[in-house]
Amino acid sequence: MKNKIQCFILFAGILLSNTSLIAQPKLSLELGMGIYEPTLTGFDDNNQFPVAKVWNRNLLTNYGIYYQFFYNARIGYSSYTSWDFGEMTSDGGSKPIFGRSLTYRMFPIETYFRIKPKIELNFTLTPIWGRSKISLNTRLNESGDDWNTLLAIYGNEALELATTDAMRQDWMGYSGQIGFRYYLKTYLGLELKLGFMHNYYSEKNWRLQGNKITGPVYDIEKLPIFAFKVIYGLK
Amino acid sequence: MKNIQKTIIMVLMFNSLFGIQILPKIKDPCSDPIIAVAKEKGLKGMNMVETIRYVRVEKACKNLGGHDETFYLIESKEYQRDYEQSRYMASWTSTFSYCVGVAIFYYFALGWMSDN
Repeated sequence: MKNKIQCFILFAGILLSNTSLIAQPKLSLELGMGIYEPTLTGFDDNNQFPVAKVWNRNLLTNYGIYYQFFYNARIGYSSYTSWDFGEMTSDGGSKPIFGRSLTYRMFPIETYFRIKPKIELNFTLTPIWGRSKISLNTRLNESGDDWNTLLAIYGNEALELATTDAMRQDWMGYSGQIGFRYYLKTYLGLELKLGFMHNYYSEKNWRLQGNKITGPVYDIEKLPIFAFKVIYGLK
Repeated sequence: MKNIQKTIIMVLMFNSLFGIQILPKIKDPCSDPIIAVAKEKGLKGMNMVETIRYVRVEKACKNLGGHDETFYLIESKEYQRDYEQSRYMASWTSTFSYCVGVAIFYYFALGWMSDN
């Protein structure tokens, strides 16, 4: 078994070294922003959450990495995340800091061709592994007391502490996108993408500390998506 | 962390106020060895440090009134090679692209039809 591993490492080493000597670089990074329009009923129907605005509803931050594995094809990982955070305004509560993220993690296969030396058209099909996370940073509770007991052992005064916990839900989906890329340099490009996302999200079966709970209703089943990206050919 | 921030701010302030060069000035940029490296490896074949060096050399050389043609040739040769390599779709990739196009068309067309 040890010999097999050594052989594999040797073979992989030779293959990779040859690749870097002969072939052109095929690894690229992307950074960008996306726009979409979900209906997050679970938050919009309740005024305790931060007010819905463009940045916390429609805007997505994006990063990704791609590897060209075939003549006109790339494979990679791309993640779009929508963020929301602010103070919850619940009566009687400790006004905790609320955080919510909706992450669409994609594992795209992208085929492309160049219509001009500097212009590329690409076609992407990808499964989505979505995850939503809701966190609360609460103040003053029993775990805070435990911390203060520990801190007192070392001669510290009592502090007002916060505790953070998060509930999560995963779902599957798929997406198709068409992209238009313009190369500013041979290693640097700007890209516009247009497409759709289809998510099989359910508000049931959220997880919080091992418990199954019901989460907020999101209407994210069918969504058009637009994205703008900067692409850098890394290696 | 605060010390690092202060140092960076100080360096930037001194740089802008007194014209201190953070990066050493490139001597004779038009015959810098990085140009030969770019010709050999291509721009995408260089690592990030080499790319930064190349961009600085290109700018400095053009400021000195050097030949734009050298840099233009390096770049256009690479564009042309990439273009030739990916001008036509190979093997299954055209079928895949067609499927994506159809999926997107049906998604938007059916969506529009169901809305109206």
